[in-house]
Amino acid sequence: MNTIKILFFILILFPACQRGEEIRYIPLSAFDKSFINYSEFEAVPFIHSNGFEFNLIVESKTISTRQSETKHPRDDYTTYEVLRCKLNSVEPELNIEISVMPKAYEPFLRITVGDKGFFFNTQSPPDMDSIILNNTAYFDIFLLGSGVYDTTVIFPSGILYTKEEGILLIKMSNNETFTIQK
Amino acid sequence: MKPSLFRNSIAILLLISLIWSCNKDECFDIDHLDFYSEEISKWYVNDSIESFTIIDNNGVSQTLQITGRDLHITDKSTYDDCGNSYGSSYYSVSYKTSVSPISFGVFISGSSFENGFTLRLNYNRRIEPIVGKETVYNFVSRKSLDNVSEIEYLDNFSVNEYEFSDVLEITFINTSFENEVKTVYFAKGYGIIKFVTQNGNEFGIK
Repeated sequence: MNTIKILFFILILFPACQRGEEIRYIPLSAFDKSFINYSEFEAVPFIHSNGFEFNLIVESKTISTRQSETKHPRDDYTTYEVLRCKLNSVEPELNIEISVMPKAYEPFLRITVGDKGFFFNTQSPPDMDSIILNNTAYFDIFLLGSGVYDTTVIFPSGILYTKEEGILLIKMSNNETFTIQK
Repeated sequence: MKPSLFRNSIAILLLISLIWSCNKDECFDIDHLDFYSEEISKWYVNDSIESFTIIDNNGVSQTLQITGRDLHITDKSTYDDCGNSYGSSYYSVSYKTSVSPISFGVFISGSSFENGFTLRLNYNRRIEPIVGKETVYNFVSRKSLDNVSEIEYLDNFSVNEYEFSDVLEITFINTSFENEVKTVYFAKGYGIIKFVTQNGNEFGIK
């Protein structure tokens, strides 16, 4: 009798455990990938506003897949590709992750510096035409702000970014900066 | 086991436990306990001290944030056989750095138990390589209670032109990679005032 009860419950529970089906797979396009031009293990020279020079190292650059969130486990889902790039430095210890999703899914590029996150819409036009940093001109610049205004804590508050060079400048909330030095 | 042997074993065990329970606990040395209770309370971080800026060897600033602090005091938590009771206290303060991925927790506790007056420091990294370490300082013996760190009591210590008195220099013994925290300086009443990583980079109050 007990065996019959257990089998009965399994039969009832089994369909509830099944996942929905993948209804769409969205790969990254060449346009999406063009937003992260770093090469794996590349060293990008930076200088702090007080003159200290260091390299940001591209630790990894990978494409992975994620599944869209669903309300119920049995709902169908979309799988999409994400390009992720991790950069870090030892002194100062900066830990940065840049990720871009397909324009066809959610057209966002996201940058996290430590605990702080920044993002911009990859379909939006650049915010600035050009800027000169450390005697080098850069074009088509995106401005990213963290939207956090706690003045008692020093944290990354803004980033300048281009498709070609990646991060040009990280501005801290106390006005110190980390600037690319090509 | 034979029934008679079993009964004898039970009887012996009961006898031992009776003798044990008849032993009188040592009376609390109230003066000693009061002295150290007052002493450890001076190590709590003053309420006036909030998050502050730290600067490293390269002139790069960030904030050492105080993310929480707490104090619990119990009036009577232990009793001796002389009719005395004694309370206990537990103070905690937690920190995180605003740019690098470092967190600290400091727990100062006081009680009549053996090794009852201690400062426990733990250190964690929030991203890989993940590291978690903890060490305990005994205020009475003025030594570390474990093999995780060496702890020196410094009468005076200066950081970036600030002078502090009564500072614990806590040096973790086994550190493996360049950004791992090697030494932490904790000042009486001020809390963490400086830490040094394995590669020699020093982060001190600015």
